[in-house]
Amino acid sequence: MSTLKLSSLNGDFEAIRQQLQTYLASKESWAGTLPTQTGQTIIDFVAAIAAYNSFQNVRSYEDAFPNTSVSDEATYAIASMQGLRIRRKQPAAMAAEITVAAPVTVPAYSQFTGGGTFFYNRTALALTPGPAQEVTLHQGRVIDFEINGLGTDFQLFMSQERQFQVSNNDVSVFINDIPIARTEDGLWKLKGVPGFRDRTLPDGRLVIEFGNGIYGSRPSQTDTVRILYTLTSGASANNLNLTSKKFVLDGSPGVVAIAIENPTNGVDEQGATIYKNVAAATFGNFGSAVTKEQYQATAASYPGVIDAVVLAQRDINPQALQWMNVMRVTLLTTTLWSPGQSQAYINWLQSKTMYSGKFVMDQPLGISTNVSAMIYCFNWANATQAQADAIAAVQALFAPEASYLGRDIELADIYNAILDSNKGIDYVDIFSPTSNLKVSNVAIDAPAATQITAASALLATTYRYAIGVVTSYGEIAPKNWTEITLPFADIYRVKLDWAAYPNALHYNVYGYRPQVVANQQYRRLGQSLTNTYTDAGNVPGVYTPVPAFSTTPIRYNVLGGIAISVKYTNRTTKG
Amino acid sequence: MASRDLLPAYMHEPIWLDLADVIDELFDDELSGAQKCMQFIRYLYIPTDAVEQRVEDRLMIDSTMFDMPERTVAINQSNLLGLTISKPAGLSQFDFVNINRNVGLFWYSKGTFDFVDFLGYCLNAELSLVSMWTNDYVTFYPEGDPFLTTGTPIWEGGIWYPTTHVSITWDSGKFNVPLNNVVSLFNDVSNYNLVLNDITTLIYMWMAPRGAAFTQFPNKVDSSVICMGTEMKTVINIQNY
Repeated sequence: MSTLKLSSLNGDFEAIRQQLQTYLASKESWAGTLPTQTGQTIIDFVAAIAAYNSFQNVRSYEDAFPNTSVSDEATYAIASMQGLRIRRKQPAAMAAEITVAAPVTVPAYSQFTGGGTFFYNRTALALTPGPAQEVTLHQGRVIDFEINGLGTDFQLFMSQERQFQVSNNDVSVFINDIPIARTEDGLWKLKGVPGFRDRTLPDGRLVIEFGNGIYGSRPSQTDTVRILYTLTSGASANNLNLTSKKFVLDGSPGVVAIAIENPTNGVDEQGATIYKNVAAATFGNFGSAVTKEQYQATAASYPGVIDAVVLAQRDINPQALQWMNVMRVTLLTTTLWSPGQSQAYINWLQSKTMYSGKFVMDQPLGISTNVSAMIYCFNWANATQAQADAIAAVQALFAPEASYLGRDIELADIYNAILDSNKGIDYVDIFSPTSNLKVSNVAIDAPAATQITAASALLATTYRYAIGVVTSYGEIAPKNWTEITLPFADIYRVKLDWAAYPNALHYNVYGYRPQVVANQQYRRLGQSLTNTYTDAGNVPGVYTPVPAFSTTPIRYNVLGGIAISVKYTNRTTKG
Repeated sequence: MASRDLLPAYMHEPIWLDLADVIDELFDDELSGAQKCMQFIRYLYIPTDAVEQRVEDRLMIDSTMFDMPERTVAINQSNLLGLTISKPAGLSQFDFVNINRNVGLFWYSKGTFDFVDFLGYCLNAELSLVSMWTNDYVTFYPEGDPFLTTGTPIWEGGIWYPTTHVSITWDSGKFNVPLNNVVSLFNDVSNYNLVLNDITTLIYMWMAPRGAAFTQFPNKVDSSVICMGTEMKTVINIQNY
């Protein structure tokens, strides 16, 4: 086994140049050229190009992982992909006093200017003449404009301003003058609610994501979308010496706020280092399983477990009440477990589930197979070694590993394993097994349906068919349906063909009978000993429903005996 | 940065500078494109010139204007983020991009009924889910069914109880995914203890008097036949599907 190294990449021009010189020094053809100016120039040139591309690769590699990312932007991108929202700057605030000569209402997010900076009010101010009124102003410049929607799903708006300047808490959107909800969560939480998602790009720009009208808003081309946000300096505005400074309301010179303190509590964006440290850990909370995939992964992560299959009610028997909230765990373990070990495992698994599900253990069924083959070697090969390699390859093929439970081994797998085990092997004859070793419970593919002309009881409608495979271990339930539409009644039959399943005892053919009561229309139509069946539209006297689950146990292949003989090939012999 | 900028000063001759430019041009197709893909492999929004222009003009941006990773990469990103779609065939490249833009956040609320809304949002479909009740574990009724109001829950001395069977309602007009894949997607994302009992597809037909301003209706079709406008439901039991 070799280690593929990315860590040795570097964009060092000098190192590459020296390596080139070293390599070329060993080439006789370069002996006269290497010391010349032309030779050195070519080497410098190639080294420069190589260094540039090597450096690019280094950066791509480093920036792909939070632990090694060099640029802050890459770190933010990773955190964002892992579901964390990047927090932008938050404005500093200060108290100010306003005195007016006549009643005036100052709308929220009006701009005050003074002291070399900008402030705004988050709430509307109802000002009346008389004593000075104290208000809170936040540092920042108000950006307020209107655009039209596109009428498309998931349209979005991106701010021009980068570097996290857009205030984290001051983004509003109005559609036709009606404010819509803002969320930092997924828009799927706004079902039936007009709204948008406030998100931050890795370069610090604001992104306003709209929805599809079902989840969040979907502004049309005729909608007027008013976007309002503020640009703030964050922590830089803290303790600016602004006390007693005057701030004039834009467009209303008579409305003047006088600061009575210096601004405080401004916050900068969250640093990339923080996301470097928390993103992976937060994202890695998959220790608690929810989906099928996560249960499979969790169950197999216990020490001593080679492979695990977890089946819940939907995959065991959807109609069986006793399986509600119960999961069956089938394990392949490195050693045979005692009852105590099994219980410890169940207790551990119980702690990894989010709801009050229960687990029961089940034993997988090993299906033993003998492998017998003849290998034909080239005349230059070491036949004894080839034989040993072939045996080892077959043993490796049957060695339990992750995802081994229910894994089919095809004849081609055995053939390829042997052939690839030694370059001296020309070809292989496999005597046993004679068919693919099927241990999965995967339903066979949908049958091919063909309309043939013959008298039948079939109607002019669409018929659907699927095949269940009956083996000595049980029936593999049908899952894959095909359909065919007959243009006329009574004159067509439907011929079904499907791939033969190894060691099938027979096949159950399931299909549709529109003329019977509604809850019995999908039913077993008949059985076939071969991989073909012709439906003439008859309705079986006994109703047999389509099975909802396979009755075959969890199985895995076991290598019984192995016998591999060796001969020299005569395929290359002429005449 | 161009390769010519890296050349030593004594190589700032047209012959070397031009050669560097030609190599850059060649590498733009053969190497730089791939390097750009690698550079943006963690980005959910890969800006284009057209996007930047609309940003500059302060205009709304269509979500398909961004560069997208090729489908294989998008599927691998989804896998990396913990969501393995077992039947990806029915999903478009953009579906995967949209899933990737959201799945990271979704995991923080996994285990709740959020999953059906998450699925509906990412696939741009109207999906809703309802729990089923029964009194015999043979026939299941959706929560809220008028029939249930005649029964008494088991904790009040009756025989009715809620189950882990659920029913999905799906707006087939917006969700162009084969039914098989709807089942598969449900199984990929939902809580594993849930049993999908059935799928209800909604088909909306709009009614307008002939000659009326029916352009307000989505997917409008002018026809000489005035038909009944209604909301149709097709319920498909998927246990054996």
